[in-house]
Amino acid sequence: MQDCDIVELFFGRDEQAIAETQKKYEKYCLYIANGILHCREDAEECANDAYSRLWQLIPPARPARLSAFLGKLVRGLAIDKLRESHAKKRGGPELVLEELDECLGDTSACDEPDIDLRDAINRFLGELPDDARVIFVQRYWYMCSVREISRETGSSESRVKVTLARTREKLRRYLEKEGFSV
Amino acid sequence: MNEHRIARALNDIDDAFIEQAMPTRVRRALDRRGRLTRRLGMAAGLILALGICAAAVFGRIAAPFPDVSDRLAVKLVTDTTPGINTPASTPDSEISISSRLAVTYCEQLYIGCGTVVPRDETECLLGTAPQAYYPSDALQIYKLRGVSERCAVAVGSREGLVLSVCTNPQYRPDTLDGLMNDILGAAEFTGVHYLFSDRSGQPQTAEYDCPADRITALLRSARDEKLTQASEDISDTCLTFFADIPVLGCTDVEISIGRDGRVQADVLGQTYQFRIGRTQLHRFVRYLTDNCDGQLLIYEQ
Repeated sequence: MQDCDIVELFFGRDEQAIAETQKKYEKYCLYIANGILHCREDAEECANDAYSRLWQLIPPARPARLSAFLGKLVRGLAIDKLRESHAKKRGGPELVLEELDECLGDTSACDEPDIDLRDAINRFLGELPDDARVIFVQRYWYMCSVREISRETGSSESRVKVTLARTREKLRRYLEKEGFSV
Repeated sequence: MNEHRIARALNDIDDAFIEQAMPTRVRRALDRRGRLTRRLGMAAGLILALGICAAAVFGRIAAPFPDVSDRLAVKLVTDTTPGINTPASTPDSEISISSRLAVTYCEQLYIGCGTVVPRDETECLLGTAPQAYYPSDALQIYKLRGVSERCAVAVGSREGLVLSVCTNPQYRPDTLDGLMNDILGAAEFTGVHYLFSDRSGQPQTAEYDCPADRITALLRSARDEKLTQASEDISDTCLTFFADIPVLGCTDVEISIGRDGRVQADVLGQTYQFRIGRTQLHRFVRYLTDNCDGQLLIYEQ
């Protein structure tokens, strides 16, 4: 079923919308959630919560790209879950996102959506060459391992690591220039 | 905390960047599903064509069903399209709230179907669930009377007088036994239509009152049959059972039986098919026409 048809089912409040979404995007959702949580059960729970959230958001939302819209929900829920488990117990799986810590200066924790920061990152990504952007997004959005990205892009692992390090440094400088860091 | 701030900001990056970087493994899985759907569509078309040919051949040798037109009193009716699933009437505000609900229970997602039930339509408390994503008061989840929690549950606050019915859109019983025990156990049969041809070859419909246990026994006569999702409606219907499932707010649930013994049940938006033996079918029709009160329906346009 096409994404636009699935969205129409949501607009018609047809329960089949959830079934069709799950049928089409279950692997996609589990891939994203599992990349963050490294736990099949937690990933499944996140995916189910994302379908539920989708039901609440559509309508009124009418996503142009259902995959990305759903992926963002899953990823957000998975990060929240990881954050919750880290708050309860330090340790656990290595958080890929800690690599990005250096990109932003010391700021207080804030749960509000940071629209300016998002826009700055979008502009930054838009200026990157395609291959660097794909590597960056695979690492920090899809949470792929360096080995996986290496296979995906056909580059060596060391080249992927170097590209990531350079992109992080560029991002740090870019955000500093935009007034985000100390 | 910086990484979480960046993680949140990164979450909302442009959709195009997300799609561009989609890992091949995931992309292939999505593409495969598309190809599989097209192939299944072609295969279903082929099977359908073969099925129609087979039905044309075997339909001619179907056993005759009795003409009862001269035995029954006539009842004039205006509605020619009985049996459409409609939810029970409830206030708009409650339907609106109920249809927005979604809870996760036992790793299954349940979503509100716009029906509310009084608390005494439930059997027991199954557990509690937080409202998905938004932290708020925990909702209580109850088992509905006569309906499996795999299929639907009642959800509401501890103090609420009425509860919202939430159904599991993923629920698909595999067997007739599952369908009967999980959903149709709560069904109340309201009538039977017997469709036949009179002497002049005109299609006629008779309405009968039939004991529910007879209907249940007929349906259960194929209890080990696997259920299939319907690819087409049965065309040569000779019996239609109507039922309500009050606890789910469903009225005029239709179960139709073709002359070849194929049964189609339209329940909760899903259409299931299975088969009962022709001998069982003919035996039931004989019982119905010989022992039950009926009226010949004449439709007024």
